[in-house]
Amino acid sequence: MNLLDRQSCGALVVTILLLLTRSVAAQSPNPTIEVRPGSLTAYRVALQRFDDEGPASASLAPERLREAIREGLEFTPSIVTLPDTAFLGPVETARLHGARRTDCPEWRAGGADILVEGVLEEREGRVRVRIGVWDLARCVRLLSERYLRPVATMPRYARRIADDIVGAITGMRGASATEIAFISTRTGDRQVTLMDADGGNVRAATRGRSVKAFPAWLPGGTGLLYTAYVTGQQPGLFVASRSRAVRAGALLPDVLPGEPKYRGVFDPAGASLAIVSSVGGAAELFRVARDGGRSRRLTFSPSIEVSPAWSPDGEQIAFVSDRSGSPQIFVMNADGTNKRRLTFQGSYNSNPAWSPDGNWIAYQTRIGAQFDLWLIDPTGEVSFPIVEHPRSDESPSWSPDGRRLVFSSTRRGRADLYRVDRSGENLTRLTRDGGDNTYPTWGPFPQ
Amino acid sequence: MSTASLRIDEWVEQRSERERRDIRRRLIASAIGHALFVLLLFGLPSPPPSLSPLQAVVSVDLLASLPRPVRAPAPTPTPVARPPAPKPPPRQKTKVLPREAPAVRATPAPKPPPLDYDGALSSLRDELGETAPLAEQVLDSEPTADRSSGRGRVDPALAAWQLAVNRALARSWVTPTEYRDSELRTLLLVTVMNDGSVLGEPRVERSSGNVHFDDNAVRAVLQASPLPAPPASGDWPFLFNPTE
Repeated sequence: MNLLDRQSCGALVVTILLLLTRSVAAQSPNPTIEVRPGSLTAYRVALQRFDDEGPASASLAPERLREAIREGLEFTPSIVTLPDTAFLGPVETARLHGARRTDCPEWRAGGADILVEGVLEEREGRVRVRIGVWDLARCVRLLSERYLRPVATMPRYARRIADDIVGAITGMRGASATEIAFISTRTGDRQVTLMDADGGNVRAATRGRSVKAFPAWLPGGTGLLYTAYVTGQQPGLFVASRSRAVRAGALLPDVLPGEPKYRGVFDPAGASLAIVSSVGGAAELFRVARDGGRSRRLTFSPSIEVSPAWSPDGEQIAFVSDRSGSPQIFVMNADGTNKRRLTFQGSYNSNPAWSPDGNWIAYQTRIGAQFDLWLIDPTGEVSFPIVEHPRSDESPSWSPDGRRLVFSSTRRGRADLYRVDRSGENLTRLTRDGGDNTYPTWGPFPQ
Repeated sequence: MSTASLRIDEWVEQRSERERRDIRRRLIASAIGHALFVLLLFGLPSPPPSLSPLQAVVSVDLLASLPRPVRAPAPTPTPVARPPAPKPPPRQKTKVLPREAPAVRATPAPKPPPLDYDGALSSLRDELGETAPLAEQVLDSEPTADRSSGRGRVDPALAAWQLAVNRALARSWVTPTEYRDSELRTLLLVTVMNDGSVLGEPRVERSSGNVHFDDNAVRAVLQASPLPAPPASGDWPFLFNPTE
């Protein structure tokens, strides 16, 4: 029986043809166009003036807040802000847009990739800031966020707002609101010292006559661990706290009693530390629980084992050993197993620092009578120089976003701290006061 | 029972048996048609676009002929004047990544002059191992000939378009340095009309695994639209590879 009449058959045929066409189109007979990058390395961000919805007597000028955010944005190598004169849209935020806006083409025509709009309102000593971040090519909002802070702290807090904006644009938060700890002799003694990531706001974190060395951050930035050489005592580990939850003072005094503790580094989770101590006069590595409950010796060699550096997942530890006759970088599992030598070139490699993405280990290598900075991948297959100079560059440490390194250099005579992009570009001196500035360690993202 | 359903029943009763069979046939046909449509639309996986054969990918190196963007170079501290320390012999086993060569003190290589189409085509032909002179090739080739023949000849119109597309995207694709030594790759399917305008939003056919990198590629295409007019309108696979 002719169940399907002519009209129905026709409709079916058309349907099948349409779907076949779709299927063929999806296979795209055209060859693949491989797109390689040009010279654009930075997102062009239009940062509007903020609308002030507060009373006329407000003490925080919107322009001051905008400039603080602009500085925070510019801190990230992959962000550049456009001057107001380049705007084809309104210079000032008239109102925060909702989920849609219609003026994206205008902004794009002005050369902007991203638009940041903002409104602030000051009430009773507090400032409420609302921010919107727009991807102008797709005309979609990437971030809509509110911040409420006391008026006095808002300009400094603006760095965190900027870092959030960077995170919305790039997927990796900015690091302008982070800090760097280091050892400085600017006050005469060797003290643990702090500064902002841009080199400003330098202040001492410790006092006293003991000699301090090897600062290391506690997870979350709640404090600093360091080694102190107190007269008449073995070197030991101490904590400078910045949180009520962290007790300041000697750390684990009962662990490895009577033995020197030359250096300690917390694992990324903060549950344990890798400690450099001494066995029979030779430095060895130990892993100790934070509460001091368990300790495990990780290295068993008559040679010297120092400079532990955790991988970001806490599964491995890079360290320096001279078991092969000269100091070289080694890697082992966090339980001390599977030790393997990483560097085979150069007669003196030390101070490893694992990148936050886990893909690289920065270290210093001796060239003639001074040190350069190199990167090597954790398999040891690829290595290359990142900072080279006739004077010594030492002690690299990664920014938490992995975009930069800070290190100590004697290129101007005394030891100063410098930062450099991971590409080796944009070298910037950070310390300008007197004294030697050494052992920098870049802190984590603020909580 | 409502008045409306009574009316429908009455209407059906009033139809002849033949008419009722006819209605039934049409209903069945309609149901089958809809079922087929739904099955084909959602049941069949869309095959990935044809990007796998490497020889079908024509890579156009993009030359940093464009000026560096807006960011001004940071001032480099003046090095202390003293004779450089003797460097040891080069490290034999070390593989140096191509992009990393220009470390801080590296002398920048002179930038090549902007390429014209003929020069670019010549480079492409060299890359593909061709020896025939360009003029001969142009004379011999049909506009769409050898599009997918891989190591064979490259359609000059296609090659010129690919170069032009790369140039256009170089002005819109922001590639931060943290991406440039990464393994990230995003494949977009871009519908390009005859006049070069991009229809709708490019579709991510194969994600890099990093949604921001994928979005960045989509953003670059939209920002560059209209692209140069293609040899033929249709869906074009664009593979975004951030390594230099």
